[in-house]
Amino acid sequence: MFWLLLATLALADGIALQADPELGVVIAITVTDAADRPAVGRTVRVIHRPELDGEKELAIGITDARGKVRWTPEQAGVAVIRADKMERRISVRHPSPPASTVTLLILLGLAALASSVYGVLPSNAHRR
Amino acid sequence: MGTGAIREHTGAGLTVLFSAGLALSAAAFVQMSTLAHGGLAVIGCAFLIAAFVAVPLATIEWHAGRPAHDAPQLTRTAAACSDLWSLLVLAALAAPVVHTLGWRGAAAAAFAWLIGALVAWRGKLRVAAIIGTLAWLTIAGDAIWSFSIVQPWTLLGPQWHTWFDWAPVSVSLAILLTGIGLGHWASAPKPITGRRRLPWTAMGIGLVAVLATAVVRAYHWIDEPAVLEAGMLITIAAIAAVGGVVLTRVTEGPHPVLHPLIGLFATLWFAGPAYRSLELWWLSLLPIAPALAALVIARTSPGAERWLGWLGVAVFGGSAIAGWPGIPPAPLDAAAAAMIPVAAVWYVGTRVSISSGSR
Repeated sequence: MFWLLLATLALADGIALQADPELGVVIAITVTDAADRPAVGRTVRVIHRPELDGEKELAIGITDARGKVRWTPEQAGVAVIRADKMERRISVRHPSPPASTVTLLILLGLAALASSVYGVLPSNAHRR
Repeated sequence: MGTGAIREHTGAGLTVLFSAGLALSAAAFVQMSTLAHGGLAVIGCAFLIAAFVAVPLATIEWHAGRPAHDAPQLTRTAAACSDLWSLLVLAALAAPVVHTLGWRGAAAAAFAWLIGALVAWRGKLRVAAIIGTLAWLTIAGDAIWSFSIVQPWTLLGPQWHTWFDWAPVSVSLAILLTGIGLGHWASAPKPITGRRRLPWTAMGIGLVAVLATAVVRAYHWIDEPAVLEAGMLITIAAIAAVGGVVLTRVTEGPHPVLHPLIGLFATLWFAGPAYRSLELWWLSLLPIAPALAALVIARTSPGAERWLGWLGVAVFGGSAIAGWPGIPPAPLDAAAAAMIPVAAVWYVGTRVSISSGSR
């Protein structure tokens, strides 16, 4: 398990991101080979929602002489960047917290608190 | 304070501890893959099922005191089923931990079941309570810390359109949040006048734990080892809390040695040959006990409670069918999976026959 983890981390080292990816913000992706030299002419792809319903694979581009390619994320959420056999799992951030998710989280939190309080309040029959 | 009052207080303490343990179990159940498939939609749906089906049924089960009055045969079956299912929940919770640790895990499981049975038999549950409290504080602290520094939104985004994939998970989550069909409420002390809504509190506290865990896991999506450690801690705390209560309950019965042995065997079975059947257990077999409890309520209750019972049968029974992951492709895995329902039917049938004979 430990060696598998190390191997995964080593693979991830071949793909470096200029910054944490954010929806609509351009970043540079650098691909390097095993000797840590720029990997030239490699096709870089992104897979949104990998191995899940709604999975979508998009080509980002081909690396230049410095092993770089520029990318503007078009979909927020979990994703994998792939260049040949190298992979890196990433999370594309929303520019601001998505209203629907925040609303649902707040509603569920309120429901949890309301249920907890409702359960310990004396019942009407008892008050009378 | 008289003996009866002490027993009532102990019983109430056990009910609260079991609720806390089930809440932690529900939190441990919120896996990364679950969030990735449905996000907060899974938890939202679980809340709706818990609030509109499971909690009302749990309240009826609790108010009735015991599952039923007019259907003794079904009652014995339901009681046997709830005892076995609570042991299997414990075994299925422990299985991934035992599986990860290998033979050391198996030895630890044997030791834990033995010590657990002895501790429960002596009625001292302080250790389980302390472990559970520490785990609660850890989860809450971790969630608050995570929330303040990161964006967990990517994994929490609700994915309603994939509902058929995660609906059985929501139902199992609702079962763990409310403890319906697991003997939790049927064996709890009778409701105190004016305090008859404890199932709502149990569900609410569980939901807080589930939401906190979801936020932590959403934050750690890229950092899997941290998640494994956090998941292990929650699971161990859930095992301690649930185990303390389940063992106390089953060791009070006529076979105090038999049930811990069944639990140990089930743990080793889930951790070993039937490890690939855990999904089958959580999604397809777990809802059977609540469906049976709902059937008892539907057959013995009047008016609206009857309809609520049938609704419970439809939801839990339907989930048992919809959650069926299929027969494992490897023959040995399939045989190991098949042994679980076969052994369960044998246990329930034998217990019902023995109790019928002794009646």
